[in-house]
Amino acid sequence: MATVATEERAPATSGLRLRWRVLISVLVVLHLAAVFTPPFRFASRSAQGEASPVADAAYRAFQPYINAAYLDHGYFYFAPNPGPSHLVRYEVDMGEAREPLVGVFPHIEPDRPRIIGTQQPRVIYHRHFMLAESLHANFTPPAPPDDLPESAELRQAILADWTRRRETYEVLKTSFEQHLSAIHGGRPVRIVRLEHRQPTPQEFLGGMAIDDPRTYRDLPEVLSPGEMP
Amino acid sequence: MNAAVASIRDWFRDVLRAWNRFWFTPAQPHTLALIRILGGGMLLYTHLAWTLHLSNFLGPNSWVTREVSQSLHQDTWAWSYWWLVDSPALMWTLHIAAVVVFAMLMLGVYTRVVAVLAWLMAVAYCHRLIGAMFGLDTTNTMIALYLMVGPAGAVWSVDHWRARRGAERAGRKAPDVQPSVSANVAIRLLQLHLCIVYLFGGIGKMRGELWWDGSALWYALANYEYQSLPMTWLIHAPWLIALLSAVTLFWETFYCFLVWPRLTRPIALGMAVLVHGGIAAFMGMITFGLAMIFANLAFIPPEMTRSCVERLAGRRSRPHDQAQPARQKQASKKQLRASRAAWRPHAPR
Repeated sequence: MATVATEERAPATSGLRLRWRVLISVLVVLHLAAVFTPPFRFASRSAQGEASPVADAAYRAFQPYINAAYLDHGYFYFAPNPGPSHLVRYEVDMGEAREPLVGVFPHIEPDRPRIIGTQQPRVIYHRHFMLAESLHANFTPPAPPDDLPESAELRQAILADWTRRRETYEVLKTSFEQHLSAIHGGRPVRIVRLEHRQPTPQEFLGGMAIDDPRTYRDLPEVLSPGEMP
Repeated sequence: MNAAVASIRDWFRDVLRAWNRFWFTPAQPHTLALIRILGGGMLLYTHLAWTLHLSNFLGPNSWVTREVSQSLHQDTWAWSYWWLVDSPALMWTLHIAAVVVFAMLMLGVYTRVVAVLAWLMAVAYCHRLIGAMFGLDTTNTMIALYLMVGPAGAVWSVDHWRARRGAERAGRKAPDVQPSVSANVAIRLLQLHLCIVYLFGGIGKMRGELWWDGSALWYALANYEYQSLPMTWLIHAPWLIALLSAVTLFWETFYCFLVWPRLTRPIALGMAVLVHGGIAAFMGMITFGLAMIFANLAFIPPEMTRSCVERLAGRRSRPHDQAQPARQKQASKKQLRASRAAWRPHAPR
């Protein structure tokens, strides 16, 4: 873009030819539409995962640019509610004679100042935290939903979606297990998703600490009927 | 009828004039340059941090292997040169190259070229490291994107220093820092992008009942994994938790309206510093909190940025400014007034 010498009057736009201004205007409108579309689509999603057709159409139109420029974000920080944390516990099989080696990531040592943590620097601790959150976010039950619609077309679409989601979860989980196995001398590793909820204000006032063992629970890989992932 | 047509025509003319003023008024590059130094510094730190754990995240046995990373982006247009990298030697070479590029961006060395490289490299890391990304990376790439658009190295950079030194050696007058349309467009895009981020952040929170019943902040502060400084003592002031939850909810949702008028802008930006400063200090996300504050600098007029930075640096004016002839200085003052007027959304025409 050309650098334009300022004139004394505002707005001093005359240094830029009309055709350049039109071109730049078109480009900024298209770019901002591409920035707006992913969070709009994300916000318009229903509980069933369907987004507004307008948002879907806009997303399809801008998808190459959105994906290539890393603009595919929902910006739902701590939304709709600040929820529980998700962690990963791993168990390394040390052979028959020894107890399995157990670890959790992200890893916190309660005795160390929280601002320092154990996975250094703090941003790296947060990367491990995000890996654990990401595994949970991709969790899909091993069996397809049992309340499939009667329409063959819809059923096929739901099954295809379930297959894709389940495969994503499995490749991610396997990748984590292989990484942990590699850093522990190739021993077999099993990972379990953990959920750590915050105590309610009443529980906290009643003496429950924010790292109370009762606030942790193992998340099942197979869901019982009616249970949400 | 004629009056109606004329008023519609006037309205369109006003819209065009406002559009022209908003996008095409040349702006000084100082705000963009400050964002380059801080944002470039954050990009440098973010990527230096990977160095300590590079093999765990980018090596052959990484948390998310390159094959898995690539497969998770299947059917998208995402790209990353890291998907082609298998050898540890090449991995280290590319990583060191990226760190050097981010350092050059921060210092303003060949800024026009390294700004493009920095954005490409930052995006390549984000796509490769899927699963480990969070708001910091979204903000880093947002800032890097707009640093490519404007003359981010026009001041407070090695580029500027070299240009001045070259001119002095050749016995020529040091080149003046010129306002440019590209500096304005870059800052405008960052401002609008930020408004979209906050709008949807606010809309997301509007859908949660905890933000409405006033307990959201408790659940954020009582999160053991995020917490860096204990703030759970706030439970003894539940009204304060509820007030802060409500203020956050409304500030974030209405930021895109509050940040434009001159009267409410300090409130919107002051709240941004408090909220993001709080996230940095109490919730362990120092980098993300700071990166968002750096992005908010886009709303500081360049003249104010220049004045603040130069005051902080302990000098009121540069030597080459003093050497300007009186008439040119007078013209510069008029330019600054014009630029300030254009910055205001309701500037007198």
